[in-house]
Amino acid sequence: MMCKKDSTSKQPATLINMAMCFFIFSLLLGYATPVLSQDKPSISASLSSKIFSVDNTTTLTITVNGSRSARVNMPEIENLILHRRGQSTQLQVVNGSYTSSIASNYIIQAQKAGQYTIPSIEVRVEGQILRTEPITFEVTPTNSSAGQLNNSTTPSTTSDELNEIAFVRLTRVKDNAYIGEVIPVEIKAFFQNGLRVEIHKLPTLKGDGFVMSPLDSEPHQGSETHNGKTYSVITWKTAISPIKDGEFNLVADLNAALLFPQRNNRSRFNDPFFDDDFFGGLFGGYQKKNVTLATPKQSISILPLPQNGKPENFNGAIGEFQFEVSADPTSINVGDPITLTMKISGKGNFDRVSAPLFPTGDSWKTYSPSSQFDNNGNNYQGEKTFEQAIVAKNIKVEAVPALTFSYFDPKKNRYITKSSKPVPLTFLTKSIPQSQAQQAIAPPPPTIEQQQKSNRLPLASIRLQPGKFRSKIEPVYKRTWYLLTVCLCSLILLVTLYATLRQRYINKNSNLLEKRRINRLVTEKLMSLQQAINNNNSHDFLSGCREVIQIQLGMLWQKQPSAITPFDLQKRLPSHSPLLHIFGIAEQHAYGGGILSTDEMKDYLAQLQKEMEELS
Amino acid sequence: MKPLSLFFSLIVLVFCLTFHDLQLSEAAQSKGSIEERLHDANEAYSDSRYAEAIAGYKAIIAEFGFSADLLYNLGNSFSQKGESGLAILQYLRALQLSPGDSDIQGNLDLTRKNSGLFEDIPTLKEKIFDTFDMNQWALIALTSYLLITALLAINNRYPLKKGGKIGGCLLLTATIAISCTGIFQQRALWHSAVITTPDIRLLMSPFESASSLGAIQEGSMVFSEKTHGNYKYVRDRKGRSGWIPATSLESINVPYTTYSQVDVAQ
Repeated sequence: MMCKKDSTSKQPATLINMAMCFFIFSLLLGYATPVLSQDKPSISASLSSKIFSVDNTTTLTITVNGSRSARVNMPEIENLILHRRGQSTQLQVVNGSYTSSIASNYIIQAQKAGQYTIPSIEVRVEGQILRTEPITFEVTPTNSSAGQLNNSTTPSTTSDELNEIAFVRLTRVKDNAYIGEVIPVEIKAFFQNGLRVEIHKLPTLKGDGFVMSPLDSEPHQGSETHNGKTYSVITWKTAISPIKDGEFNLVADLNAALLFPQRNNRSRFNDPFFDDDFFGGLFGGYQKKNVTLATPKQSISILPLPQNGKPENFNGAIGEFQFEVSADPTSINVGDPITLTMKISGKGNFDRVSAPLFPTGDSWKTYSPSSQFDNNGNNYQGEKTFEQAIVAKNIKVEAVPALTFSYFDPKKNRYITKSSKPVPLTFLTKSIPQSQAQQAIAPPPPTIEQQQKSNRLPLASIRLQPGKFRSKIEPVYKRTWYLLTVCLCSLILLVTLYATLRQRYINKNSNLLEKRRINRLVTEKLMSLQQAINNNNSHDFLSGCREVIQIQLGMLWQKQPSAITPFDLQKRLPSHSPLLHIFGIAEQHAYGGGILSTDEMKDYLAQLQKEMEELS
Repeated sequence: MKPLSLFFSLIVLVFCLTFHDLQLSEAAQSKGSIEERLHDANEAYSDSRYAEAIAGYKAIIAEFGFSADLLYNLGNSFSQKGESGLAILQYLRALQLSPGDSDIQGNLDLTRKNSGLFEDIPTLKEKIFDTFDMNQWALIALTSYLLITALLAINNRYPLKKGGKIGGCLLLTATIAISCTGIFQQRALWHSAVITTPDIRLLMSPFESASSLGAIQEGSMVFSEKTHGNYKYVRDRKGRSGWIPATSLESINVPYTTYSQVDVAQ
C-alpha cells in the first residue's frame, strides 16, 4: 500500500490519497482475504414434476452445494424404475468467494399409478453423510388429464440479438428411432469471436425420454463461419438413447456467463438488453451476464422394437454390426483347451452386446467368456471381443460349431442374425485308416452308466464313516469348551496377578514379615509355656516367659531379644506392668532356683498372654 | 452311617452303569442305523445315482446333524451331478467343521476349476492370513493363551529367569494378536453365501424386469448386505453388487439343521 504523507500537499491531495488507499484496501479485502471461502456442504432434492401419468416420467435432481464430489445411495422403491442420467458439476466465483455444486439426475418411471414417497436419500459428501427430505409425488393412470407432462422442452428465452453472438446447435437427429437405439449427436456452442465466455456446466439434455452418455470435459474447440460471422465453436460429441416410446421434443441447453467490458452505461452492442440492472460484481473491468443458450426444438418419434421376427437369441443389441469368430489352436488332442475369439464390431449399443451362446452338448466343455471393448473414445462405435475357453471332449468333434449373433438394424427396420462359419479341427492322435475302419466292428454304444462314469470328475473318494455330528456349524470360539477354557485361564491369570501384587506389597513392607514371624514365634512360645504348665516344669515355664518377653519387646524396641535386660524393662515399662514382675521372677528363679505352683504358672501365663496381645 | 452311605453309593453306581449301558445300546443302535443308511447312500454314489445319494446324505444330516464327512460326501455328489454351486457350498461347510482337510480342499478346488471359477491372486496379507482358517487361528490363540497362563502361574511359584519370562510372554502375546487378526480377517467367510443357481444376473433394482448389471456365476461367494422382498442385495469378492433372487443363494453358516423332510423327500 502506498499511502504517502506529503507534508507539503494541501488538504485535497491528502483526501485523494486517502481515497486511493481506501480503494486499494477494498480491493485487497475483496480478493486477498477469504478469497477461498467455501460454503459448508448442503443438500437438496427436487422433482421436475410431482404429478405425472404412468406413461410419463419425472426427473429427480439431487444437488449438493459446497462440494465437488458426492456419492448418492439411492433407495429401492417398489414399482419405481430409476434411470441414472449422470452428474454435472458447477463452479461459481462470486465476489471473491467460490461455490461449487454437483447435481445428480435420475429419471423416475412408475410401473403403476398411485402415491409414492421418495424417502430420505443418503449422500456421502467428503466423509460426511447428508440426507435429503422425503418427497411425495403422485402418478396418475395413463392418459390422465390431471398429470402434467414433464417435457420441459421450452427453452429459456433469449433475445434475437443474443442469438447473433452466442447460440447452441444440436445435430439433426432422425425423425424416428427405437427404444434402446444409440443415436450419435453433436452439441455445438457458437460464440462470436472476441467474446469472453465462462462455461461452468456441461450442456444438458432436456426431455425425459432419453438418456445421454457422459460428455467429455475437454471438448473440441475450433472456429466456423456462420451468416458471414466468425464464431469460436466448442463441440461435444456424445450419443443419446431413447428409453421409452412416444413423441418427444429434443432440446439441449447450456449455461454460460458472457463477459462484456464495462465502459459506460450503454453496452457496446447498443442494446437495452445489456443495460440490465442485474450484473455480477466488479470483475477486472468486465460485466458478467449469465445466460442459458438452448438448441432449437427437434421432434422425434420413438418406437418400440417389433415383436415379429425377434430371434430367440436376441439380447437387445441395436445397430449395425459385423461378426467374426476364430479359434486357436485348431490342431489339438482330446481335452486340450481352445480359445474361441468372437469379435463384434460396428456401431450400436455395445452395452447390450453379449457373447453369443456356445451350443451345449456332450461333446464340448465350455467356460464363461471374458469381454473387452475397444471403443476409440466413444461408447457407440468400436469392437467388442469375447474370449471363451472350450474343450473338445471326444474325437468325434470335427469343427467348432457355427455361432450366431442377432441384433436389430434400425436402418433396415428388421432383425438380423449373423452366423459364423464352423472352424475345422484336426486331432493330432492317429486315426484308423478308412478301410480298416470299415472292416472293424463298431463298438457298442456306451450304456448310460458307463457314460456317467466316464464323465465323472476325478474327485477324492467319499468317506465311509459318518464322522462326528454337530447340530450347528459354528466357529470354534463360540463352542462351550472353548469359552470355558478361556474363562478358566482368565481366572488363573487373575489369581496369579493377585498373588503377585500381594507378594510385592508384602516385600515392600518387610516389617510386616518380621512382625508376622515374631507373632508366630511368640505364639509357639506361648504354646510351649502351656506345655510346661502341663508338665509342671516351672524352670522351663519361667525361661520360656523370659524369652517371650524378650522377643516381643525386642521387636517393639528394635533390639536383639538377648540384649534386653531387666534394666531395660524397668526403664521403659511402667512400674506396675505385669511383664516387669514376670521377668523379674524369671530372672530370680534362673539364678536362685525355685518352683512355681501350677496355679501361679497359669496366672502368669494368662497375664503374659494378655500383655502380648496388647503389645501386638 | 458309613455302611448306609456306602450302600446308597452302590445303588447310585448301579443306576448310573445301567443308564450308561442303555445309552450305549441306544447309541449302538443309532450308529448301526446311520452306518446302514450311509452305506446305502454311498452305494448310490458309486453307482452314479447321485440324486439318490444326495437324498440319503440329506436325510442323515436332517436327523443327526452336520458332520464334515457327510457334507463332504454330499458335496461330491452335487459335484458329480453338475450342480457346482451346491457342491461348493457343502465343501465350504465341511471345511468349517474340519479345517485343513486336504481331501475337502482338493475337491473344492477341482470343482471350482471345473466350473471356471478362478480365485484372484492373493495379496501378501491374504497369503499370510489364509495360511490357517478361522477355526485354526482360534485354536492357536487358545493354545497361546493357555501357555501364557501356565507360564505366569509357574513363574509365581517358581520364579523364572527374567529374560526368558519376558521373551516368552511377548512371543505368546504376539501370537495371540496375530491369531485374533487372522480370525477377524476370515470372519467374513462365515457370513458369506454361495450362489447355488445357474444363470443368475445382478439386477439394478429388486424386481424381475430391472436392468441387468451382469451375470454372476454359480458357485461364486457373495456377501448379502440387505433384503427387499424376495430379493437380496449382494456384493461379490470383486466388488460387483446388485440384486438377486433370495432363492438363488444359500448362506455357508447354518445355525441349525435346515434340511426339512419335504426337502429330503424331493
